[in-house]
Amino acid sequence: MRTAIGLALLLSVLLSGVPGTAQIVDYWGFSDFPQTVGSGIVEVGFAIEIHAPLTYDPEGFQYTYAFEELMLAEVVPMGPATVYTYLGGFFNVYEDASFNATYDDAQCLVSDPATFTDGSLYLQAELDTLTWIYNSMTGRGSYDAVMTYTGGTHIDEIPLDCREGMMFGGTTDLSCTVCIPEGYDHRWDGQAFTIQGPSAVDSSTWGSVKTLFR
Amino acid sequence: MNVRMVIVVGFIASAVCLVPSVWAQQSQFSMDYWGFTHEESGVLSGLGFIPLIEPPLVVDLENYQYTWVIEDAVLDSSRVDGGIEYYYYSGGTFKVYEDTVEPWNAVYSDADCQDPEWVGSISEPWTFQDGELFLLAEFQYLNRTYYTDYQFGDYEGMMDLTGGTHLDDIPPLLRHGWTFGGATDQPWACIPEDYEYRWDGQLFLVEDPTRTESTTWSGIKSFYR
Repeated sequence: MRTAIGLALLLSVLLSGVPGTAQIVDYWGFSDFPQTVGSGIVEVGFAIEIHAPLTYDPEGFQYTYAFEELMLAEVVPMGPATVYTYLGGFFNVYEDASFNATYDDAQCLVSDPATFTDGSLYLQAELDTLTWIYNSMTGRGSYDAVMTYTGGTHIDEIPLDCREGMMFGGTTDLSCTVCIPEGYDHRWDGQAFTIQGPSAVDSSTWGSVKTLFR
Repeated sequence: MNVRMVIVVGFIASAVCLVPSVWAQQSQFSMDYWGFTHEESGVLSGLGFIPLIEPPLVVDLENYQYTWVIEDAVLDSSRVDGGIEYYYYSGGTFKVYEDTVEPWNAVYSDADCQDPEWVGSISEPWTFQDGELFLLAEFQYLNRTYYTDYQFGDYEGMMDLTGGTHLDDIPPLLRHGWTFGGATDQPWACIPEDYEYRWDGQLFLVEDPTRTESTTWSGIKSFYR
């Protein structure tokens, strides 16, 4: 019986480690990533695709995003790469009817950062950590982040138990190949996901747990 | 600063942009894409969706579905260096398809966050290759990096744009492509069965390579005098 309980608990742990997920935002933009501990990050860009369960109106509104209040906490060398860990801050998506955030590829210009954060706050995620690995040998980087969706006008479209989130993407600083406007040092391309939160915990006696397996 | 120093600095500066400096005087953002890849017997392939295509390519994103397929990129070599895996591919194609027939048949489903066992599902590979061949690009190289401990990585590639119904939208001098993006194989990325990585990337049009000129060492020195 003890073996059965052990196997059952192990199985439940394994299953809970495979969360259901949904891609909800596909985005790209530009960052000025500080490399000094305690510095804040600046990143703005365009949310080009928003998926269910979120609803959006790309004809009537422009959707932009910004990383805000994210601070560099740790820098760890890893061969030719460096691992940067950022803590706190927000991934904010804005909905703006003015369509005033612009990018001019030919001139390599992007509009003022304020044009990416006006309008209404459509979705807000609080970041726990963002890990960015930049490889100076290749001029490329990649990142992922752990976050929780907590606010914005469309937060209620995300079920309560799906408000944990992750994101990933790639970066490049090869400004001799791609346009990276003045004031920024990397181009970013990434996606944000919702993932299923942990199952609710039920209190019970040991006897009741045993009964479950009889 | 003496001449030798100037030359050294010059070489270092050009090395920073190493391959791209050979290619790019001007680049143009062309498309944003995402999808899934896998490698079998040393051959990388993948497929996915293109939500954004920019001019000069002429598209109708409202009425047509645009998909991409990578085929036949052959692994030439790989190495591991301090927890970083490097993979180098040659050959292969990046094809963009325009599917004019509704309902659009290339489908991916991940919208079931509340099902803890959901791993995502994707339609058959042929649904990403029907319709018209909108753009054909042939890889000159494709490199990717993977950070084992973090389960993510990045990639870049250079390609020649050689065919497709919309090749003529692109001026002859801009018929090279450079792509970069991120990849992950984390469980939360909802990667369908038969695929290993989720990719998210962008493609740029870049100018023809700048021609090289042969010269003597003395010629280079006199250039900096």
